[in-house]
Amino acid sequence: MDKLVSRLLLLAACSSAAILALIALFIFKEGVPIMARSGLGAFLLGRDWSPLQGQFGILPFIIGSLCITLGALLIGVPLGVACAVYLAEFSSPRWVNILKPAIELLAGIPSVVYGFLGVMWLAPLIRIRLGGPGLSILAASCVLAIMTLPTIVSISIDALQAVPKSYKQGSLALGATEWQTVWRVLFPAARAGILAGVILGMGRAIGETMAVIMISGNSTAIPHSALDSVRTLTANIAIEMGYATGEHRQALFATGVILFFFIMILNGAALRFARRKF
Amino acid sequence: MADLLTLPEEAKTLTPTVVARDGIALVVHPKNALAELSATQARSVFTGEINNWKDLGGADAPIRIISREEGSGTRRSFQELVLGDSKLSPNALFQNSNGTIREAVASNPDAIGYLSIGLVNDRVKSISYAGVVASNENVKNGTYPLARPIFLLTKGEQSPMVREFIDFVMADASQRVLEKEGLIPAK
Repeated sequence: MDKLVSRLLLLAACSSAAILALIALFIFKEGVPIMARSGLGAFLLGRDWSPLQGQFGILPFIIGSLCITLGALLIGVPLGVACAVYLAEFSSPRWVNILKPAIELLAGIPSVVYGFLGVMWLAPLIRIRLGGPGLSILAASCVLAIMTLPTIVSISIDALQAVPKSYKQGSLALGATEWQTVWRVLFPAARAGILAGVILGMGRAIGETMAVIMISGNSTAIPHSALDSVRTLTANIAIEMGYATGEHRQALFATGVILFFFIMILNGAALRFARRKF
Repeated sequence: MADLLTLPEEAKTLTPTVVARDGIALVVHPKNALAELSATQARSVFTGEINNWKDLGGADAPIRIISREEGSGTRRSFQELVLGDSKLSPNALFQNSNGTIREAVASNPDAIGYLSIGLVNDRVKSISYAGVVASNENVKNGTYPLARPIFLLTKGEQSPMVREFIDFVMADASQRVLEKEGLIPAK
């Protein structure tokens, strides 16, 4: 009986891996031929995306994804890590009980709501105060920063709390200030966990689609400043899939292949950091 | 792809039935003073040749083109009817539905976009194209040129149920409903 159950569980475990394999297989089958036909270099480094004229260059979208993700991290990481340090080390339990669920609730807000707020409030603000079309890298980065906060904060809190109490006590006993203790003792000790949180947040940012479509303007040009509009890899697939046929459709799957590699690399990195003990 | 001027290769095996027509209006922000564009001006604006409102007698501000995405029926029809062989400006922003185009134009005083006449409301201002006001009446009497057919596509032999549905859509009562919703009846 035990053996039977363990077999069944193994089957269940394998099925999710098999689903992943099938998804990968399908994306590659649909996407790779067009990459081979137009040449990997021309596909990855081409600047012109006019699928109906047979031009499939996705460099602007790769740059778009990287810019928005980098922007989101520049805003989200300092905010998230500072938040985690406060909640893990300084705040009273009462505040933790209020703040932590509130931050976790951010993860439960549908991304279309974030996008809506971005379009209605943030984009006009940026357009009026800073110029440009408003729907821009900056707007998307701000919104994504908020969306990545729950991931970064909760994983960083866990990492900080996993640092043995004796480290902090020892540091304080040696006469270090609270700030010195956080900066020189807790951060180095929790570094791996915090990095894993940041990388998972990055994965969330690079994979986000709905909010980004709404607030990045989806231009196919290579951006020159943070106020320019861009299109991300995910947005490119989601926007055009509805009507795409033939080569156009294959090129969207090929965009998915590139995105697949991006996510694999990020997840691989996150796993490596997460496994490393402090 | 139910709203193209010419159907793509892949749809050649399907049987199209025109059930309605739909006009495309050029829209700007309500505060924009611009009232009309000639066909040449419209092409120059959307190719990016004219990229400042002051060249059209407006304020000194860059023109923000908001277009439908590549592949959309409205986009392809717009390409054929307005741009011809010219290419859309590389600086255009994209939205993937009529509704989001309308919101994007409504929230930016420098924007210009295009969408179905039936979906124009008071959040945006529809401008005349080639001297003709964008309205369903003008599409019907043939003076407003930006319009495309809307198809129902069927595959192979039509089953009795399919035929019944198409007859239902083509019936006077249904066509009146389509008209009320902002489309132009096929008949």
